[in-house]
Amino acid sequence: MLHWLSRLHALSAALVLLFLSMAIGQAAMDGFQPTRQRYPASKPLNPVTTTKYIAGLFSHYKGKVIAILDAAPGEDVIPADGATSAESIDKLEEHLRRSGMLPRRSRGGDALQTARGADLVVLVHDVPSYRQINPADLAKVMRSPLVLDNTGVWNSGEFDAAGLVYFNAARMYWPHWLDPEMEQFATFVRNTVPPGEGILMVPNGPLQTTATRARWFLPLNARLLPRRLYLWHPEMGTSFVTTYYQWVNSYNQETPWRGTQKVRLDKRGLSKNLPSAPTRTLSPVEIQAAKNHDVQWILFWRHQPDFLLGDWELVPFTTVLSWSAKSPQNS
Amino acid sequence: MTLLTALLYLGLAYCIGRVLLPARTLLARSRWEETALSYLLGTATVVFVTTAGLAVGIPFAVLWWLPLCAGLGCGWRLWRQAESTNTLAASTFSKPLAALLVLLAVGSVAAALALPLNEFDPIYHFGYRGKVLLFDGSATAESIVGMIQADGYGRLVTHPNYPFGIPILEAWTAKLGGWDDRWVQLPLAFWTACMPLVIAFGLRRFGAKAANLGSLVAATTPMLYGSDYLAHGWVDLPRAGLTGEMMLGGGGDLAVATFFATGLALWLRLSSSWRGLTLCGLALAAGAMMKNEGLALAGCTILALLLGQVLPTFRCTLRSLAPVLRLAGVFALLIAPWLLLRAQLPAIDENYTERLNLENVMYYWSAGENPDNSPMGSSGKLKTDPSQERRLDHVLTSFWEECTDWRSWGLLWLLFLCALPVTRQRLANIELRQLCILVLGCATLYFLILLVTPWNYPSLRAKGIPERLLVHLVGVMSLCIGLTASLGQGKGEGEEA
Repeated sequence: MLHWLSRLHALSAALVLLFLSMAIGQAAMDGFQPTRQRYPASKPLNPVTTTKYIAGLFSHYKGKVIAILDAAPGEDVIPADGATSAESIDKLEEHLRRSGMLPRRSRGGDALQTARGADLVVLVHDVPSYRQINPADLAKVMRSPLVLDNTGVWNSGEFDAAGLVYFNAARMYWPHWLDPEMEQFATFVRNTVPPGEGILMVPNGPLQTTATRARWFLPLNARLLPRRLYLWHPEMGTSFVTTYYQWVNSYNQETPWRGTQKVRLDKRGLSKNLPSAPTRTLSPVEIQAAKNHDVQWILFWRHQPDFLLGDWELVPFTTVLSWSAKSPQNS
Repeated sequence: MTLLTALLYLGLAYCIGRVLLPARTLLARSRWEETALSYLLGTATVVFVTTAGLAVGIPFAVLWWLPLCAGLGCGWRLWRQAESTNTLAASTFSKPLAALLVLLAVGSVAAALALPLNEFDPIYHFGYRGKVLLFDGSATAESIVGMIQADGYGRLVTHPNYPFGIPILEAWTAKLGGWDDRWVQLPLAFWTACMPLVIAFGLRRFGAKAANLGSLVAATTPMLYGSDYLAHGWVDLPRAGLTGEMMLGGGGDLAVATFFATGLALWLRLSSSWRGLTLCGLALAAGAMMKNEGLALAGCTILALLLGQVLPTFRCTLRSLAPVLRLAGVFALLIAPWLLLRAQLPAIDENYTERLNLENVMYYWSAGENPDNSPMGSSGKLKTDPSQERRLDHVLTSFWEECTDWRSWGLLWLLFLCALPVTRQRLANIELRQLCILVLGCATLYFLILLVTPWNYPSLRAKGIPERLLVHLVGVMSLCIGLTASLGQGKGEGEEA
């Protein structure tokens, strides 16, 4: 019995060999590096929630021109399993129109032509020509600098550099440490902050999401060592998912940002997006914490599941202290 | 350079471990068994010595030289006192079995290195610590212990009281060439490849059939490579090795499983000598220095070995218990440095020693999940938990689903059930009694730990629990299965002097 069952069990070797050969083979095809494309695609968009999301991007949304970049009918998109159906896009178009906006679809055609004069470009299908679009060209033809990516394939850093405000509506299934903008920002910090110096991480205001993906402090901490990163109650923020939720709730209840003032910058470290800077003055408690831990830098951030360069700003502590001294001018 | 340092480490660890082993004439083993055992014992020694050094405050930069000097010294000694290869025992493997084991071993090493560190635990729990050792040079640096500060602002570290076994190996590899997310995994890439060989070594004394069967069962258990592959259908096919289901690489569970199996294989072969008991204790201590669960497994081991000796007649003498008590003493000595170091680290969560008490077990036996502790509840999106199911039912269901999941376990659990000592002949075999009590005891312990966990159990389940705990038992279960298969047959070769 035992021998017979053991032989049957040994058939699992076929599954193991398949697993190993696919793991090695797929890695080889990607140059032995993990790529986002091998993870599940983002979910197809929901016409109702996407319409609300788009309307929320404008103070007055009626009459806004919305350019929808979608594939030609029947054309394959990448990756096919997560693609939004043509019916859903028809519905989105209908909902947008009913809300008073002016949708316009590319249907696989020229993206720049569709985007000309638009207030917002929405990418709904991962069409190769749209994936490789030059953000600077897009910025030139648009009326307002807003893009909404529902596929998660665009590199927000390139759009930021072109002066476009990038929003990501896709739910991403690839791990957050593969985010190219996060890597770009980590490199920027490594080049700016000498090893051994301290960085205090300060959210710009209330933490707006409980998405575990938004814990960008984890990959940054691992990448920036031996620089010293400090966070408000890290024993909760870095712990198990439910404790992290409590950390978000506790921060929002404690309101450490209360009494501080938003600061507009004339120039940013990496991002070109001036209005979206997450900078603010520090509270006395935060200033004291920075002094206690001998930090030289303050890293402001907006707590979001997608890493956008515009949401992050690294500022010398002395500069932040000077803001506090003259805060009425900056408010 | 990091790759070269990693390759150098492999050689040094082999030399150190090889010197620790008794002569081939005293302890029969094949070349491959010897290689695997030497590497594992060498690694266990490196981890033990470095942990001990870190515990008393010696900088890692100084400790880095110890394995180098010791390895070179051992290599020189091996070269001077070269034993004849004629003294090696013949392999028990048939050619097809050997070919399959080689294929799986090479595949597991290649798959482990195919991608750089790319999972949550390897990056944040272990890789981060490795970098701390490399850059800060201490296990008690602020980057580990500075999490909780009076002003509420502290350093970021996940599970600060996790052991340093894997970080030590990674930091050692990165010392000369710098941190490389791929090559720091090289010393960690051999756990799966070594386990079947260690099992063959342990079962050799029970005959070739036992050794072959045990090795085959272990090597073909999918859990040693990855879990739940193709569970979502063919869409999983190209995603092999990408998700949290990957076991190979920079995680700690395979290391625990392999050292646990090594300790028991050594117990089966060498429990009558102090040297054997020391090596056995060293392997168990190394398992505990890879992940905290190793400590619980070692405690279970001592208890199971005692119980196996005493049950079912309750007749025993101090003389018959002496080897187990000696092992307990050796293990206590070898684990002391890690406990000394751990006492200096903050324990912020998962204090199961404190949590596993009768009161909690009784409570969760009938209670459901706390809605405030559920992802929806604690994120403020849901005020009441729609699930009224008791946690006991959740945990029982998940254990059943796990153990019957052929994609992860093949027929391993069924084989183990078939190997239980339910006949008089099997019951008379003391080693089988001990190993079976051990597996059942560890599975029960994990069950109770998950019953009283402070976390939301469905969330833990989604993160690959309990399979990532049960994988620790693969080697011991394979030893049980092989041993049972040998009963009724003649004794094997290589009985120790």
